[in-house]
Amino acid sequence: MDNKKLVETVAANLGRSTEDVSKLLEAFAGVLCARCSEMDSVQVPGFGTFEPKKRDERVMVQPSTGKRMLVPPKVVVGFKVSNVLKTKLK
Amino acid sequence: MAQATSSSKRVCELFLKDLFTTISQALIDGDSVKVKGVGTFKISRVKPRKSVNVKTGESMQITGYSKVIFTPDKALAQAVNQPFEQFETVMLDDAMTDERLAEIDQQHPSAITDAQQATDESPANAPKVHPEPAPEPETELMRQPVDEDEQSVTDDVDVPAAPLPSDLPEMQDAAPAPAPDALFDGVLPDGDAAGERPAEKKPAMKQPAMAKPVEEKKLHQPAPVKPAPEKPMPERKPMLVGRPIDGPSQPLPEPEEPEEVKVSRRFYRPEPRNAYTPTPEQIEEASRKTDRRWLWLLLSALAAVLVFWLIARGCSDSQVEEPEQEVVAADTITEAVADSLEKVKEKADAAKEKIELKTDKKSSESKAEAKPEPTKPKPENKPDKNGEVTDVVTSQIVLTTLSEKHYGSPWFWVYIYEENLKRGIINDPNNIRPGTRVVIPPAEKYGINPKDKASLKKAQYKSWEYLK
Repeated sequence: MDNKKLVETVAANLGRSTEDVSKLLEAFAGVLCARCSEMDSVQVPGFGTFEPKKRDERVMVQPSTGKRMLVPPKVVVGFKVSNVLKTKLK
Repeated sequence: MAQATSSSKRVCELFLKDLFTTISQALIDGDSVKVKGVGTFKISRVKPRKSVNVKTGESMQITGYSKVIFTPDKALAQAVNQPFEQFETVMLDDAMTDERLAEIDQQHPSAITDAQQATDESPANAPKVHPEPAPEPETELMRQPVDEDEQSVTDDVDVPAAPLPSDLPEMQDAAPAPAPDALFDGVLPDGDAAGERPAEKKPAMKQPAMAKPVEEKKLHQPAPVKPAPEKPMPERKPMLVGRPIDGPSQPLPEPEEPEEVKVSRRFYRPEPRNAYTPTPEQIEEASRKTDRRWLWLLLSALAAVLVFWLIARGCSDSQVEEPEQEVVAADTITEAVADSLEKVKEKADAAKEKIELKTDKKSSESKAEAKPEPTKPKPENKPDKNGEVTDVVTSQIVLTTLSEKHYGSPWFWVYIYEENLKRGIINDPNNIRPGTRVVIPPAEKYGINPKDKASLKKAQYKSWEYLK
């Protein structure tokens, strides 16, 4: 299901226009992005938690050339599924 | 969110609730959901697997389940990773050591402080900085003594070289320059060389490195050719050898007035030094201690290279003579040698022979001939010209193959090995550098006869001994 279809489905469920819904979705993405950039986690009840995590630097060996590379540290967004959804998925 | 969209809280709540139930539903259906600006949610099925209960030791079955894989959207990932954005994946220099890092730190304190945002970042930054500045102090140190020596020696050399007008004068400069270093190198213990950092050898340093072994040869060389009139000969040899090394960097002038060339040479030499000068002087002061250390390391590394080189070339004295031909036009040399021949007439017979041989060679061989070919055979054969042959060891051709070829049985490789061990060409029969030119002794010398069983047995026994 891609973004467009998702927006359409949600719009149909709510009885609102797709434009409205996509706007709301964008706003949500903006909030999520802002919170995660501040290393703050975003919890969505019944769905899961978005949580930024710091990954340490590491040395990686390129399998093809055998050269060693130093991969810099970075922050990635992790997602943890809530128990509710987990049990549903089982 | 309500503020951002200027809509009521309730609308937002409703929207969120519906959004996530929709996503959940899609996921439950086994579908993946892509949300713009957030990421992709995917379902992956984990298979049931067997495991052991840690407490009881019973084997048990872990049931399979589905898990959600979330891949953040590019925009989101980038935004979140902003503090670390400036870092890139860097190639690691395997030769990097702590000392080296410390040196770099000294030289670039600013770069490090910039990188202090996260403590563990500095190593990430350092390698980036390293390749350019690190080698500077070393090369500089290496260079300066060489240059100074060169200039001081130049004058001395002029005198003896003067009688030979056909010589290429600029070579006189090139030759004596690295000599003191070579002496120094010879003194160094080779043991700790161990090829510590051969990878770090920059092209700039190769120049002196290559010149040195040649020079050291020269030190051995004069022995057979001692008599006074012979003097020009040993001198010229290293000179010409020096040429291929300097060749690329230096315009090749025709034989001209010595003064002119010398001047141009002096001008030229300092140039590379200037290229290195950008290193601030305070940095030099700060890292002087480390520099000295590096100098030693470097010298030992050079010694290692030297040793390898010696082994590779089979370390015959007369090697030095050979490269001559390739470099200088054949005619010039023949003339020069003829000149010196006249002078040297009263010299010992052996030495004379050598030169005669050389003249022959020179006239017959083109200057472009590759080094290894002319290198060994002539000088080696000269003393014992009686049927001694040389051959080259390659990755395919080893001692046994050579033995098979020359004696008719692979077992006689032992004698080839013995002969070359005596001459110091080979050390380890199982570890011969490809391209090494080995001497094949005449079969009679060791009583080699592939048809004679006793001779074969002896060889087999010997090879056993060596391989034990």
